[in-house]
Amino acid sequence: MSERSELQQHEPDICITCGDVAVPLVVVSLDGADAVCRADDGGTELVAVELVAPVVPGDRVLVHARVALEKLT
Amino acid sequence: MRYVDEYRDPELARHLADRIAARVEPDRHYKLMEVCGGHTHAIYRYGVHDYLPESIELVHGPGCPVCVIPMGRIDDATAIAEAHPEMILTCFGDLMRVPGGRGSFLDARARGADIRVVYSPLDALRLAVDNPDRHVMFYAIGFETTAPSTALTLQRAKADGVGNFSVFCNHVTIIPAIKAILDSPDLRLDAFIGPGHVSTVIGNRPYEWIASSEQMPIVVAGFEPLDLLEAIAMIIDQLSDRRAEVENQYARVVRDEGNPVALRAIADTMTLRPWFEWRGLGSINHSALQLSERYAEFDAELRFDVPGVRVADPKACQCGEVLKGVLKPWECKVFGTACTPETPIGTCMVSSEGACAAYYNFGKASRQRVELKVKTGA
Repeated sequence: MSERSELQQHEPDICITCGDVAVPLVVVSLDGADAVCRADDGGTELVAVELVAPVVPGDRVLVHARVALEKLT
Repeated sequence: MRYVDEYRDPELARHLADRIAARVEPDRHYKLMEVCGGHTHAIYRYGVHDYLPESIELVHGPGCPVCVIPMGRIDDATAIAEAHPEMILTCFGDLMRVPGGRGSFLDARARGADIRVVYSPLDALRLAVDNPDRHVMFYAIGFETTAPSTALTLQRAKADGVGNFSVFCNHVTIIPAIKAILDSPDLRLDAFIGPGHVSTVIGNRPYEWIASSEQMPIVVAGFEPLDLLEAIAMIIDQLSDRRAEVENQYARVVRDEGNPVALRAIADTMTLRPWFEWRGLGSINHSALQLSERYAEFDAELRFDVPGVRVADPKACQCGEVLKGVLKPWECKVFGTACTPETPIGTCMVSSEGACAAYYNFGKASRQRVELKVKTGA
């Protein structure tokens, strides 16, 4: 599970507050109301998927602050 | 990288630049406002200006949530944290350096307050569950992109009966900000580049009044350089054809109806405030969210005494004018001298989405490239 450090939060490219850091991730497996999702760089994180349910492994979702906002076509 | 490389292809960018150049009308000046701070960042980062004719001016809008937060709201949260030793105040990383009247959260942490950065409000909730003898307050901030994650967290907190968790809510909404910009007498705009990820949540329909009543084009755009160039091309097409429509360049992500489930989660947990103070734009009616009565038990403003601090912006700071698009970042008196990302005076220099920080980090290179082009005749 990749965790973003506090230091990374301060890097100029990252501002979680604004929506531009919403990133597309691929659902790998389901874990209750959450899903383990993988980024292009191979890192994974646990994402809440209630707002885009149902999802299945292989779906691509747009994720912001560990919450999936939209299923991508 | 899949889904990224195809939106950064220089050949396609030149093709779009040619399309834009072919359609701009001679002797006409175009003022387009990108509402979203993420677009401002992308424009400077990728040098989108370099592909545009000089007659197209991009004006930076108020869509950086960190930038529009008034200093008093930082002081209020600091005061709550310092008055309650059991408190863990949690926030997104960009907020740590936002100056309040009594310094930033980093300064308050140095004075002894327990203030921690989280990546998601869900992490703040987890912190509360893991520390039952402490109280965890999450400083919620952001437009409609971020509000769903706060809403979902509140719903989980209620369902799980987490009693030591609260939210200090500063969520704002984009439509009243656009209305305030249009009411500003200082600025005449021709069109808007609409926010991409806010629209993922609210959809395209809330913008229809811009086209019908204001007779201005708005094109919702993604965040890659080709997204922005294509959106600008669509706007120039509309203006040349004397059309004013809501168009969606970012259809691979944004649906017309937005995400109804996310909107219901927001409506369940939050309600409109009568008014909210915006830095630079002043008080705007019904422009922000507070927790709904159903979630009153999680409302930090009800659970704790809030001083309600109001602090005037520093006199030297011209963030207000920058946020309204009246001034360019480099036209501010303290830009790059007294105010830098390391020692910001104004909020626009704090967040990477802020126009000043974006220009400070990337814009100088962009201007140098323009100067080089002029010198070499390229």
